[in-house]
Amino acid sequence: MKSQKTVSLFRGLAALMAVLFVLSSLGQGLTENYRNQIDGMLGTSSYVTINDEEAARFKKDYATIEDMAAAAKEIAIREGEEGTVIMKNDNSVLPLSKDHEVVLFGLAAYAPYPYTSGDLKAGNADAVDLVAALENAGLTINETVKNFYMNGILNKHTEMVPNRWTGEPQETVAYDNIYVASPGDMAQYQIVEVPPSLFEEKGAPADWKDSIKADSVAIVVFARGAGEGNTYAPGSAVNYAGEATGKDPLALSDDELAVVDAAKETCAKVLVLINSGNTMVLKDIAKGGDHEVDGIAYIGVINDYQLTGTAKVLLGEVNATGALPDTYVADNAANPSVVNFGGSYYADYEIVKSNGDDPRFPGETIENTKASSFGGATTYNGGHYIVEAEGIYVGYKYFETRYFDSIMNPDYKAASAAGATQGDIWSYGAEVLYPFGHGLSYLDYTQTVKSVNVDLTENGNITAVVEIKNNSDKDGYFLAQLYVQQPYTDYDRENLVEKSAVMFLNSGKAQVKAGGTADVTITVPTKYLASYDYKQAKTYILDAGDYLFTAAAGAHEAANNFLAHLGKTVADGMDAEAKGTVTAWNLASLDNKTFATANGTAITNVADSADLNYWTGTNTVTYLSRQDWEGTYPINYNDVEIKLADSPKKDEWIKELRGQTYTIKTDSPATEAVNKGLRFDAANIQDEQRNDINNEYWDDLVHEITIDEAIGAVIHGGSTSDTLTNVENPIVYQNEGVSGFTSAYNDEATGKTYKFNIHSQTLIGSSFNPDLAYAWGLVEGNSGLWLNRFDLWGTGLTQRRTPYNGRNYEYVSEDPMLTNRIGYAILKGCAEKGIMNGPKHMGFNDQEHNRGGVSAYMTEQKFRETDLRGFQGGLSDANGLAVMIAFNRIGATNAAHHVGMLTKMLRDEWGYKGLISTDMMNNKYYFNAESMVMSGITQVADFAQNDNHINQGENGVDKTWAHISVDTVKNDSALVEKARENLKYQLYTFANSAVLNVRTERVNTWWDNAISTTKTVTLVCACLSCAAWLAFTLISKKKEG
Amino acid sequence: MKKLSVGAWITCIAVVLAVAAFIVYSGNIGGEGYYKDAAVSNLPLMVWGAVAALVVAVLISLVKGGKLVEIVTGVLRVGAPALMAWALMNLIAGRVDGLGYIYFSNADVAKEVQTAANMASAQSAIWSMGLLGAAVIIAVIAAFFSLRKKNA
Repeated sequence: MKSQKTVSLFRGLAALMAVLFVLSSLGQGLTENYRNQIDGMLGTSSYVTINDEEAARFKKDYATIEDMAAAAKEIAIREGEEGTVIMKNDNSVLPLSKDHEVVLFGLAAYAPYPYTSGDLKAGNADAVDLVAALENAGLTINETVKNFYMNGILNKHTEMVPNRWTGEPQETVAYDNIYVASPGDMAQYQIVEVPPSLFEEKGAPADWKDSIKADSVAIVVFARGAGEGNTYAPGSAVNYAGEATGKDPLALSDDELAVVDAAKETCAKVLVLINSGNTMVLKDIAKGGDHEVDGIAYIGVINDYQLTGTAKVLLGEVNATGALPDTYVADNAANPSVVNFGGSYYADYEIVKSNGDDPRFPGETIENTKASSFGGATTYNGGHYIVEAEGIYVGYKYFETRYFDSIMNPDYKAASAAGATQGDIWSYGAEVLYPFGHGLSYLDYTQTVKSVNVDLTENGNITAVVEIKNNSDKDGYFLAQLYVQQPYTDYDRENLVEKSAVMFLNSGKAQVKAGGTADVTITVPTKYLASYDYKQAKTYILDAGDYLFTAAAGAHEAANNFLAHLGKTVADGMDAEAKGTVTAWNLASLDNKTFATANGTAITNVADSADLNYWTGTNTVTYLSRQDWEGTYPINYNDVEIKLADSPKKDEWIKELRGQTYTIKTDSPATEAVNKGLRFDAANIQDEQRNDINNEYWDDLVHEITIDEAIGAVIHGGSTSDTLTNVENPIVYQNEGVSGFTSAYNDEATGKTYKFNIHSQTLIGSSFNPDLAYAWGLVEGNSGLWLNRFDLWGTGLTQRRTPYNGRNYEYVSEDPMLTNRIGYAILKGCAEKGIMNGPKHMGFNDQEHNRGGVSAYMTEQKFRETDLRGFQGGLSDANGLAVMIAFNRIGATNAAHHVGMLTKMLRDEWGYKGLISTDMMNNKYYFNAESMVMSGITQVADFAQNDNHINQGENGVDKTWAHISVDTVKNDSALVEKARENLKYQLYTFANSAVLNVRTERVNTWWDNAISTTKTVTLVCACLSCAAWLAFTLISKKKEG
Repeated sequence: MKKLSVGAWITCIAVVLAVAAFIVYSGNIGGEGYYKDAAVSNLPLMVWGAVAALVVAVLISLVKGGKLVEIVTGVLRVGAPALMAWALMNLIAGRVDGLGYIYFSNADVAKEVQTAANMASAQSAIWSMGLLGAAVIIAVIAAFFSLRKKNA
């Protein structure tokens, strides 16, 4: 009996130990893949950073963390000072006087967007909201209204909300009433603004109006939320009561207008602040509107400290120098880019579906339906398209060109019905409320181009000297904006080379003494004067004729300056006389040579297939051309039946929509790695290697990488770079986000925590100040050095093509050149500190709706002169070190597969040598491994770690793409060599970054040790238990026998 | 059946739990949602192998045998939970990325990623892991007991 119990005991122990051994052994492998996340959860660190600051190539500019934090805070306040835009200022509502009480209305007045910390807002302990900013500035705020808003309507509180994972209740900030922070994906958008009729119900005293002094000034703040994966749907507004109104969610709702009316009723003057990254529709409160207010100011999407700067502007402590980075219109439908917003499906999109015939996924049924922003469906997601038929005419380039043509070129039929939203005939004055570049200055000033020098060489610059004359009796700070008009010739009309009548080039600011003058020198590369001719010359051209330069307070003022220079007056239809002069630069004959090459590469078409007509073989799409506004104004291509089966290139089209941009070859054996003993370290990397990617060291180094690792390290780039076996490169972590590093710095000496994601993309855009952007770039770079983090997705440069994109708050402007110059400055600052700051999301990620598959069709002129031009300054001119590619397709081609954009343009034409990352790889049927390698991607963002192999799946194939294995790629030398080349760029970039400032060494954490010990102990115990069980079994039987 | 001891009945519970885990897993990869068609390689082989081992062990124990029977059933009863543990770890490895997407996505995208189908799929995945984990524990407990009553 006793021996039987002993047998059972040891058998049980053997089973227990065997199970624990299996769990610990396999668990060790699993934890290796999620080391970063486990470290984050447990507060452990798997790597130690060894930082020899004396020997570091990139050094911090601040001696202490307090100095670092102070510098960051100063930049953020300046963003508020320089980015706040006074759009309307009547009845001297601004500057505010400390003698008059201020009454705050609107939910966002007490909880400006964003009200929670995260990617967009740092959440430092000394963050300043609007109430604090105004009070700190010396204003008195009406307490009665403040109290019922804060305590009755908003009622900020915490709620115990179940944790989504554990179910455990956790404390979360909540409000009784707050605007919707995430509009969702083309969903209904509720505008949660409590109307005054409900104030008393929500806690306002019955006599709240009596508490307001007659000479008070009301400040009403309205916000709109935004977010990743979010897209506003036109006509989707829902009111406070929950009723669909059919109105534009970006227009002010009746509830909001009722708040405005209450403010007008109770206060002497009313100022409305716009707290949004999405261009709102302000017709009702603008001049002539039914609810017109005295003043309107744009405050963008704020962060911790910007409102301190905004308050200084509102009180007139600094001159207002911000300008609108977008055009504000009476109806968003007036934008030609909005005509077919959202996109549609090919009539026969189902024919792309695979019924098991895709050789990469044999036997699998793969649909061609929509996937969510995070993937999760078995689909190519290639059925959805949008036609960007507006061409280069986005924002002011449309409105100002059409205005110009309505006066200068009546034959172009600008004054036709096409595109009119405010009457039967299109009229600039009715359509546009506030133009691009508009911003009122407190101090009267003039800006005049004194001289323009155009260096007509490949790397030459336009240098303009703009004189600012301060006509006021106060010293002040002023904004100068430089615009150009290119000639629009018969050649252009014949070859559909489009020209905006007004093009912003660059801007600058200067301090000027009262009554004095100051010169601002503005430079911009001459290449941006050229236009892309995709039909005839198939390269960049400069037309013969006069190039007109002017300095103006906005695009519309510039248009009037040009018209006046050309002999037009108000009598001809101009809505105002010119305020500035024009300087002309003449080119005698068409130049199709100077900018036809760049970095030794001949520039020619690389994106013919982006044009829908390329696929249909007919003129399915008519792209907008200013020579015929009426005849070419975009129709709604969502209503046009487009059938893949009708295409003369049907098979090619379907192949592309299936993501088969490249097919693996089988007849060209690749060479295996040759280990020459080179390593990626400071000893091997000196200036001659760092300055020349063609140095033989780099080729030798990447040829030490095995075929398995070369392909694996690219297609499993992950959220950290992988350590390659023979290279021994350090681990490099990727970091978010567009407002700066989200990681916190914990000062062990003081116990204080500092967060440096304190920047505002919206306000840097409206600052129109590249110098401020450069200062931010340096601060952002310095913060990376303090955090020992060097790779950052730290800005957004996608063009704001429409007002509805849920990520416009991450971007700069509707204008490519303003984006270009701001991007140039931020990336230059970061690169000088050795920080790889990668802008998001290169390649027309201009709507979040079905971002993971939508095909954006366009001409090559649009391809080159709109969204991509926004990235060109930072990546090419400033030698930026990283970039994240868009999710969507360009034409039918996944942007991450686009050889034309990534290799021919970015690498060859632009001379870019940095990292190229995909966005989140969430759909293996959409993202194709071999196509990404061949396009030049250096790292696929699949968020796993230490998985730089293609043999980790079942039967030694890749764990994501089963058609990839060493056996299937080893006979494609081009593929393997391209992967090694991509890794060469990656390693070369690391060498030119602050990565070599430090070494990282892997150490065992306590949980590593616990797992290893468990594994060893349980293995020993399992063996001993088995042996004991066997022995006792035999003994007991013997005894029984 | 009267010959079977408590150990055999506990083993049967482990078998039932493992079968239930597999049924939930099959529903998980067959139904709509995030894990549709996301099969875990070799998981059926491992689960059914473990189930078969436990069933065979119980059946053999009904036969009054000598030390060979005792040793064979013992090996099966030690090996089966280890095999199930292996299956469990593979299942976790195949599900953890997706659970991360679904439960820990940025709040901005929560609405989109946390669809009813994806949430149901995630919960079903958690249930399959939980049931398989319970089967492992019960199978280990069973190994501490004899399958056959003394002298039965």
